[in-house]
Amino acid sequence: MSATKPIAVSVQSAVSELLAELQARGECEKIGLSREAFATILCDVAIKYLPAEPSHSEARTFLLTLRVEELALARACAAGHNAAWDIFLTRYREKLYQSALRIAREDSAARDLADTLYAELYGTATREGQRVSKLSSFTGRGSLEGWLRTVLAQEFVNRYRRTRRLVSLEEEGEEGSQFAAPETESVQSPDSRLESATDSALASLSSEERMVLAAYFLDGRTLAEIARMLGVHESTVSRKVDKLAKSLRKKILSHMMQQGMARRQAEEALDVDVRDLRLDIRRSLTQEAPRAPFSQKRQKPVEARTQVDPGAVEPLREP
Amino acid sequence: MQDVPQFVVARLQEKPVAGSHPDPDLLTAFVEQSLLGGERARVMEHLAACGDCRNVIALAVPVTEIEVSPAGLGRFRSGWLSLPFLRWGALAAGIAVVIGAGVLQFSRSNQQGMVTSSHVQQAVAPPSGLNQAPSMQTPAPQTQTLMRKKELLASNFQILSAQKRATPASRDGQLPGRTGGGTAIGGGVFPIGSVPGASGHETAFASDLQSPAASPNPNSATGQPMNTPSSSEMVEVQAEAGAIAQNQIAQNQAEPPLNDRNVTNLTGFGVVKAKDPVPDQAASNSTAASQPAAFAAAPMAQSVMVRSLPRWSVSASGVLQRSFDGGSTWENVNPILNTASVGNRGAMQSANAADAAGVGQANKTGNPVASPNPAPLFRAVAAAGPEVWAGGAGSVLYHSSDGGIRWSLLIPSAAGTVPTGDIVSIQFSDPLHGKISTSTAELWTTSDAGQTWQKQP
Repeated sequence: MSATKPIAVSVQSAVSELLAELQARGECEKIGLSREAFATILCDVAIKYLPAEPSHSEARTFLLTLRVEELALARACAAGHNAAWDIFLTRYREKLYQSALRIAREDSAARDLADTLYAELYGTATREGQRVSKLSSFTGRGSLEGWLRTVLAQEFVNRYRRTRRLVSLEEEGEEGSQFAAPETESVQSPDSRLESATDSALASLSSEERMVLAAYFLDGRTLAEIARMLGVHESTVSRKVDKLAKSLRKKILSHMMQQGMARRQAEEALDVDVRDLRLDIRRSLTQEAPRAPFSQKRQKPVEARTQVDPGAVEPLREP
Repeated sequence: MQDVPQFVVARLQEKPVAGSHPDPDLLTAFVEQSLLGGERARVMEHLAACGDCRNVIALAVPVTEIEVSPAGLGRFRSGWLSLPFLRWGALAAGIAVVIGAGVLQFSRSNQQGMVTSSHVQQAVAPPSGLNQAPSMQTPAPQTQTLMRKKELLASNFQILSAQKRATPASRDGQLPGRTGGGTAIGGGVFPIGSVPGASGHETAFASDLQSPAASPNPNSATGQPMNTPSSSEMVEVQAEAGAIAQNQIAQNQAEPPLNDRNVTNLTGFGVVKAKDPVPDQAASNSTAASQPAAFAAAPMAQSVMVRSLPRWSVSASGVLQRSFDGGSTWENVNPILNTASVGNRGAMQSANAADAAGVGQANKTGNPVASPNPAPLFRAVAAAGPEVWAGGAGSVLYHSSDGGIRWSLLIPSAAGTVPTGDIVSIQFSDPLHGKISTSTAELWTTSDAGQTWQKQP
């Protein structure tokens, strides 16, 4: 890695300056990590996260924030040192399974998850005869225990995302967007003004606010969970959500009114449940049905409706 | 809780995902509050748009809950099943104790003040099954005798204070904040107004109750979630382990809590136990600061304590926090900023604070940990009066003798070795003698306020 990217001088000097201290903290001798290897690791990590030309003090500060002991251990394990691996097993093996259980909430899934990760950590794959371990990607920005949990969670989310509740929300969203297809005037224009008003209101929020909104309303996270994710008090999150909900509504309404909608019209557009829009269409289609000839045009909305709500098609077929 | 319009939610959903996912190291650092301003902002931006990464973070946060014993994952379920019985049993016991104490408390309140109640509190604790570490409650021998004699008095006292606090609990079983009862009780049952001793007390618990399954300890060890209550899980754990979780819940409830999962049985039981931390502090303060016999002085000492001595806690994400108002508001404490003996690190990080202050995204939660000074990850704090010890990841150990204003970094070392792992519990029986234990099951002791250490085999 040091061959592909020139190591900034400041990084190098910071590393060499702190090497002794970090090496001692990391107990590198105990786990069989040589001084040079450790220095290389530190440089790589620093380069990965620091900007291209960091100042000396930036590099120093960064290096001091690293969990050097865990970094050394992880990399020593990745390199295959048995002493390191023994220590890793002693400290982390149980935690791995426990964390998997907490994440998967079910015995067999948890074991499967943990076993898969364990194999990846140990390094069953080989590349050019070298054992490749996932631990070699650990950079010590966070605790090793936390990193293991994160990796487990990622694996879990990748595997089981289909069954998460998020899917139902996706379906709802699809249902709503389907209604752009039927060409009914009353639905279309509020939509676009509502859309742009909503978009600009959302864009005016900070990323943290949007994250909280998404976590609470999209993912269905509890306040406690969100508080833990952000490292704040639950009451803080609660206040934030309340404030956001109120201010969003206000912003969207004002945006819509700026675009020429009357206040009541804007409120109606905003408060209408997207699914309720279907009723208007059904009514208008039902009225049209006896009069309109059997044509492509009529069939199109019918088809669109079929996809979303098969039940609503029937009254149209009768006449 | 107000809802946002359906359409807004749908729109939020449709937004495209921002860029590539942060690597697990960054996500972990985000959760552990280790990211500096700009990095944190970038990750936050990604999280605002990426549901998968939000899920990953939600799953990966450390949470206090029943820790599965190594013996078998199968016990996990049985642990949960047995809880309701224990929980209700404990609640019934607590309430019985509470009811008995009422009258006695009134008669005693004015004379005895905190000290007595604190001592009797401690006497009550052992019968209730707590294995309290000796460190935080070692009153003088005569006081202990006094303690035992007044065991019943203690229980009465608890009951009344619990009652006082139970009444205003209008919110679905949530403990009232400091506005709740307790203030009427003479001499001050300081509702949740416990002081440093509390946290130390709990950390002491953490190490003592390591072994049993379904014990919340390792979680206490990983960081007491004082201020980000995961109450439902906490409650389920309580019945198993008793007071630890209770203390935590009680202290958690000091803030106006808005838990989604309301815990209805917290009121009685949790409140009863909430008394524990306070008397510990009173006891240790009284022994440390003044003679135990100074009953008259005790109430005064207590009120002085609450004003000037903060209550300490370590949040679930490892942030050291203190509260001067009995738990209503907390401030994060970053010892690095005020460390005398770690010259380079402190100075440099202060400089970087100035540099990066303008860069980082404004953190609306007001959480100063998102600031550029990366505080160490704390997992345990113990305090006795103005003496505060805080330790955590990488076996960093900070000590303050003035309630957290100035800190010094201590590196326990003996024969050229230093502790491995994280410090997960700290116990100081007095300012000189203490012991720390680490996540690697090491035990280190000192008898000279941390200047020299011995590693226990």
